[in-house]
Amino acid sequence: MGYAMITTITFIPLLAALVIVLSPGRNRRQIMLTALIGSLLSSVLTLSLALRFVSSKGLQFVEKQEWIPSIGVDYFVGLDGLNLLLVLMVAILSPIIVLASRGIEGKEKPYFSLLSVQFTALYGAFTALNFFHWFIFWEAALVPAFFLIKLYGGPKCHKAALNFFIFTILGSVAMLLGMLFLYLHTGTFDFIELRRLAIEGIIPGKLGGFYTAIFVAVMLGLWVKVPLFPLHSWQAPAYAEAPVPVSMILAGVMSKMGVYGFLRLVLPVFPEAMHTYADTLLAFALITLLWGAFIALRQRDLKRVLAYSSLNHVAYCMFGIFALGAAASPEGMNAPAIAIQGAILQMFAHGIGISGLFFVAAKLEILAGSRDIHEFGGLGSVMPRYVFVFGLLVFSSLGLPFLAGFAAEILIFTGAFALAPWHTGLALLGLLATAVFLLNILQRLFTGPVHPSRSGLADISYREVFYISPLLVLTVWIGVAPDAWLAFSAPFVESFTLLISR
Amino acid sequence: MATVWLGFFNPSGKFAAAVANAALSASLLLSIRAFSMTWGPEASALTANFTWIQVAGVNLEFGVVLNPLTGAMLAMVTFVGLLIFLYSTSYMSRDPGMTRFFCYLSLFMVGMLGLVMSNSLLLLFMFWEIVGLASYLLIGFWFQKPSAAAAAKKAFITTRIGDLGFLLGLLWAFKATSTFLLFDGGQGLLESDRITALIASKDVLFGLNGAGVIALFLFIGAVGKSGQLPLHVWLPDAMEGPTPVSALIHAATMVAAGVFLVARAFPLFLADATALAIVSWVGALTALFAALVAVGQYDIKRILAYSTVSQLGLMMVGLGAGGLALSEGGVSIGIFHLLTHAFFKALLFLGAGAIIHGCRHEQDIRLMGGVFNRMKLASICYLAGALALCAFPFTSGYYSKDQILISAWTAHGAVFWISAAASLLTAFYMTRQCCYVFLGDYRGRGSIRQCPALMTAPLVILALFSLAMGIVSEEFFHILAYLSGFAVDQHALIVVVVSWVIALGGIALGLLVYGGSKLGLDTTDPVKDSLPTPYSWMENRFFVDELYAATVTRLWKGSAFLIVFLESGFHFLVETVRSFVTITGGFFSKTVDCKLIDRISFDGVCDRIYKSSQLNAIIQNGFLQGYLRIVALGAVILGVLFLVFAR
Repeated sequence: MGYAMITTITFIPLLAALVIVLSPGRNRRQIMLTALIGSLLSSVLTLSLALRFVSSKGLQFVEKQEWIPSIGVDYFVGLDGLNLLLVLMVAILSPIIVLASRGIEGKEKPYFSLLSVQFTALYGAFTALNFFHWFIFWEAALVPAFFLIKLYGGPKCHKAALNFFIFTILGSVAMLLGMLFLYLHTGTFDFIELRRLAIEGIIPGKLGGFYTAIFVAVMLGLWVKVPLFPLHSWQAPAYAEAPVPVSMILAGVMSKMGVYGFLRLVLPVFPEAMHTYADTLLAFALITLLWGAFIALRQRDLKRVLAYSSLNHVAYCMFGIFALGAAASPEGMNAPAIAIQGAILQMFAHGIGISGLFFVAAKLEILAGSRDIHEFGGLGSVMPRYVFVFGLLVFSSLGLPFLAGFAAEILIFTGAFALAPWHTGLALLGLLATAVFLLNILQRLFTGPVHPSRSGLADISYREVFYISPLLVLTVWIGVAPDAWLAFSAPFVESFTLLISR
Repeated sequence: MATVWLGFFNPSGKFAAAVANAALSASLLLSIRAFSMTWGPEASALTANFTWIQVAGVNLEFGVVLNPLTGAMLAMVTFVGLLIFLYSTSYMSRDPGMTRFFCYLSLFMVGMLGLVMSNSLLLLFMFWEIVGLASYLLIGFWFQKPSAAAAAKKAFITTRIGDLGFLLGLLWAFKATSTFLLFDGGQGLLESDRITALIASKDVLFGLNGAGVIALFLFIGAVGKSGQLPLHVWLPDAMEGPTPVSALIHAATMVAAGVFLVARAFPLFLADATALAIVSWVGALTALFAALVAVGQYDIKRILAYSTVSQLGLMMVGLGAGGLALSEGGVSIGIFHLLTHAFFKALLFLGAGAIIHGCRHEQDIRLMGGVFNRMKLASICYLAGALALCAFPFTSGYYSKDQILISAWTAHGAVFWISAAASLLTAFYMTRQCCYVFLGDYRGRGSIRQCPALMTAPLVILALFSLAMGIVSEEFFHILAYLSGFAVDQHALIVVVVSWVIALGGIALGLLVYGGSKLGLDTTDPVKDSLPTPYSWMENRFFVDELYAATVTRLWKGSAFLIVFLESGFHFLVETVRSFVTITGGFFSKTVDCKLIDRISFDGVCDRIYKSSQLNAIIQNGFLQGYLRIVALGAVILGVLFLVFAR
């Protein structure tokens, strides 16, 4: 039992896409149902894997097949402490994303098939353990996203889609070249094998003078995807112009691909470089998080605010990761492990939270036809349920204790402060700015006298609350008892950080 | 003990007033029981700890602790809280959001009780933030009012600045000791082993030792929460909330959380004399500053708000100077004033609420007057609270303030005189307020209403406590004396003289200036007549809000503006790159890719996909294929490199 489970999970949505494309009917309901069933099947299977996952056993559910022996390419997938939570996140979000697409009018067939292809690519990218097909999934994830933005997005979606595409492609090419160079000198594409080589200290010797250049090249592709300053400019327009379900994918899941790449690829393979350049990297993460928060202060478009808040929050993950190399851990604690656990939890928590926020933001746009926060006011008296849901997600995002955001951030800061106190002290300013711009939104949307044109808005329906209820439950659950979630990655992170920290 | 606050989670769904009241009564009984458990001489701190998060062998722990400090706070918070809940049941009875109101109040109580019981710096911080959230929600309770919404935001953000200090202290503590627990069988943060280790690291930052640095950062958090200089600006604005909220949160309990934090972490403060000196100086200056501002205010609630800021400053003096003078006894001095203040200030706010209710929701004291004749019982209660606040001899405020002045005298002369001046002004501005409100003829709209019995009853109970609580001061110090064996009665003669003079003198001076004058909107304030310039500064709160608007806020907004400007530069860059790619993409599609792309029949595949999904019409704009070809180009490069190198 269980053989090829991951492959099954990965390709079920693709199958759904094929069914959608090939079936003759154009019944909207039927199409959506097919996509939903596809994503749900994968989700259920993923959950069953998560339940059977034993965190102390390392890599599990492995499938390894020779694929192109002449260049050492295997089809190699598996779950370990690092990617389990992310795959779980895709599983939780994908049905909700399909449900969030109910508002898509016209051209449903390509929409839902592209969406399903997108899910396959995401599952694939998070489970692949060989660079070769990881990269294929990585690139494949880009294509449906591009079309979805371009075909179903807002008025400026063409430019936004193009920028998104160009940036990520350029980053990917740099990464590809870097990895090829690495392959030529080590002879393997295997992540696990590369990590072993790096820990034995062989890689710097093999790369010689190119070490730093290759490090930068590989990092570049991830840098764009996360994104980090200064390669972040594609992000806000793409998030804002994309249809909401796609914004959920971009902000919730695809930004995590970059962070995941750092943990899977850069950190294990280039630990020395991470140590050497820790201060610079931390500075970039710091700038990114402050940058995002400060720009969000001046945005009027709700989706742009969320986009920049996402820039800010994902930068916390990177901050936690980069802190690892800053200094040796103080006596008596494994501070890098705390920071990395925080980063992993932050990926999960942010994926859940930002998707929920985009979902509810869409509600406002559909009802009122506007995303300009200046055009609202007093919604607190018009739609109380909506305010509760929105408020819960916002307060989780600004790091209120007992909600998901806090649990993740406190770990990141606890770990990072022990390693890089000055950077962390400055990063706390980001927390302040986050609070300011999020409370600004609450104030604009919900308080004051009711905006004259908004008095008749319907409240969020119980059905919609039901759709995102998993996200709300998780927000509280992670916040109150994060240890249940951290347990998945704890043994992995502990051994991993012992190997690569100073 | 967990049941005390778990009780609050049970009434799910309908948080009607009755449920909230019942739940709080239950926790009051439990709290009193808990408090009494801490009395006996043998009672030591009870703790129960458990792990919240475990990472790589390090535990982030939670825990609760019950010691006299916790017990006293629990009893006070639940008792004053219950009276205010009862009062609110009547005060808010016509408000459509009553359920929401009690829901928020209960959330606050959960946070406050949790905060008081926490045995973990982390858990304390978490409840600290919950309390901040409840305060935000309650200040903005009437969210339809833009000023209320703005005040709520201001409160949350200003206190959050302080919270960042707290967070830094917490992180620093964890870095230095690998634990968040305060008491842990000898291994806790506040226990002598750790403190000794922390003191050993000298001159860590700003010349403070390891414990002093943590103490100082925690104090920044306390400054934010307790409205001390320079983060006091949110507290007067917080009066936008319903009056019971002002009484409960912004007078009696939450704002005292900062003082409580200093008291809780007192061993850390004791470890560094500089930290204690900073606490006492900040406290003294705040006390004087706020007292001066209070003289220049006309809004009955704002006067009380500044008075609260001022009294919180005195509590800080009690802790700081008390620590310097009496070592561990400082805790009981600061906390005793916290407790007496909670009673009389809650009384004053609830009384003010009754007066506001009676005067048809007018808050300007110039439009009141003659209230005494119409609302005798409420007025007498209010006067009792005012006397206690003025530290009139043998009221509760007299005993607690006396202790503060004694310790300030022992610790530092200047701090003593500043505190004394603040106390003198306290008596003066309270007399001024009472003259405006109670004497003369009614100057407002309509006629004065009586208030219902359910609102008056809590006033009477609080008034009795305000007057009589001084009697228990000896017992109280004995209960807290687990901390120290200091003597209560080391009265220096000058201190006794000064404390009598400030109370009686301040009241006499107030009566002299305001007693016989004609007051109201159309006459200028008597003090303004004689001292126009200083008074206008006081009226305008020394322009601190304006100063912040001109400096901090402007800097903040300016940097946001600058970053947005830079960001648009990046967007320009992106646009350039895009145009460049568009042009080269065209070039590729015409010349290069026909040869390269066809090799893997990319176009063919694409076409088939497009046709099957009816996308043709949209794709025909020509660009798309160009960019897809770039993807293909990547694949081709990959292929070519294999061909070259892989052999």
